[in-house]
Amino acid sequence: MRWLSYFILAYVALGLQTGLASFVQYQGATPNLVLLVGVFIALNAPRDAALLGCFSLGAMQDLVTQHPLGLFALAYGLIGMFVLSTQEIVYREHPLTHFSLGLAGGLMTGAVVGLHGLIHPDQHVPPLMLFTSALLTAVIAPFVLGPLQKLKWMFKFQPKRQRPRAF
Amino acid sequence: MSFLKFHHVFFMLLALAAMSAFMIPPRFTDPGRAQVQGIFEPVSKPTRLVALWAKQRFFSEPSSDPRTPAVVGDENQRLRVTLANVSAQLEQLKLVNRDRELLGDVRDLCTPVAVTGSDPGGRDSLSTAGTTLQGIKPGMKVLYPGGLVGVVDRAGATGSQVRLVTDRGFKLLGRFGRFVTRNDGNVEFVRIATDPILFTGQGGGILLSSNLTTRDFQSAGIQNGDWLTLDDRDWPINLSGYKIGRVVGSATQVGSPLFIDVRVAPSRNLSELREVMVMVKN
Repeated sequence: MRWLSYFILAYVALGLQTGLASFVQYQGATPNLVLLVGVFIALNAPRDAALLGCFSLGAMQDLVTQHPLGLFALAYGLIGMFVLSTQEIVYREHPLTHFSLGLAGGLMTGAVVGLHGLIHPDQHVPPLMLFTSALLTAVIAPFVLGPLQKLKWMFKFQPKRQRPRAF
Repeated sequence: MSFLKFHHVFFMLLALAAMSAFMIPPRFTDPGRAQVQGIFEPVSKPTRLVALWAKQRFFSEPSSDPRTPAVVGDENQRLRVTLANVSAQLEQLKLVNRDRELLGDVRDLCTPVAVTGSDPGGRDSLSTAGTTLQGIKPGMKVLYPGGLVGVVDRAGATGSQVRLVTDRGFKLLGRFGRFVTRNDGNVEFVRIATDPILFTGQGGGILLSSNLTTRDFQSAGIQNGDWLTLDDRDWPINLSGYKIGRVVGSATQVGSPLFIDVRVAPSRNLSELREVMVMVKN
């Protein structure tokens, strides 16, 4: 995987998410653009790069949120593992795949944030808000992942195969 | 050959993240992230400004008033906040004669800093451009012309994070008040006679108090639109009486009918502020 492209995408996604979070919301819930970038990486990259890429995305999101450090790194790491396990059985270009992976990723993130809220009740986030956020993420997933899939050549996910030498 | 494979490293990272998120207190992890949290400003700040412009351009209600309502409204709001604040300060100074030099507009004690983004994780917080080089430190109070914003949670060389008063678990003591017109036509800010009431942030721009009895609430005559002002000894004395928000609703608690839930919201959506003032002196 071309890591420079990855970091540019992560940087732009996090900047957009931080800038837009308070303006694109419904009942306090916002769609998660960074999560969709994580799904895109996990859907296309080789195993090790995908896991590390998802974890790093979460760690970067942890830098700018009020949640404790490591919460999103953990959530996106788990999402990376989940999406990676589906890599071979899903049609990567289909909008329904994007919707379902966006929803699953949103729910997994919600589960981790919800679990944190159970342990630390003063930071409890209402489950309905987490679910709405997951749903919003799933709704925008085809519009984000579709164009990203067209640009996946920029990330060089598959290493170049060596041509067999002609004798 | 090493027995350490990638998945071993990855699971160690996950375990470390889980420990940091669930077990290690934030005071140990916050100083590190405070130093780098401002790196997204070159993208987030222009994005925020464009979103703010688009919201004002396409989603704001049209006004028939030829004057600039934003300017008049802001000034009016600021004067009311200052009046309530100074009234409370005077009240306090009758009891405590020292701290006389702190009287006046608290804006003189503040440094304005630009807001670069809001919380991408659904909490009520703001990323700001204020850095430790400007003298911003954790624990400093943050204001805007319409009232309190929150407290600097962490600050570093590239930016700072402000925890809003409406964030979940944020606690402060406040007292209700309202403007009344006297017989001579002058407007006066009157504090409603109740003890200081504990309010807790609920997220989504709301503060809630659950420890006020229905009888006290009714006898005090608290209504929607009444102001909640700060009355908390943990805050600087010159912020006493500073506006927190307005009462937006109340409902008897289902589980305990003798008590009432009072909901308070700041005058503006704090997540959409363009600039805040950090109180660097007090």
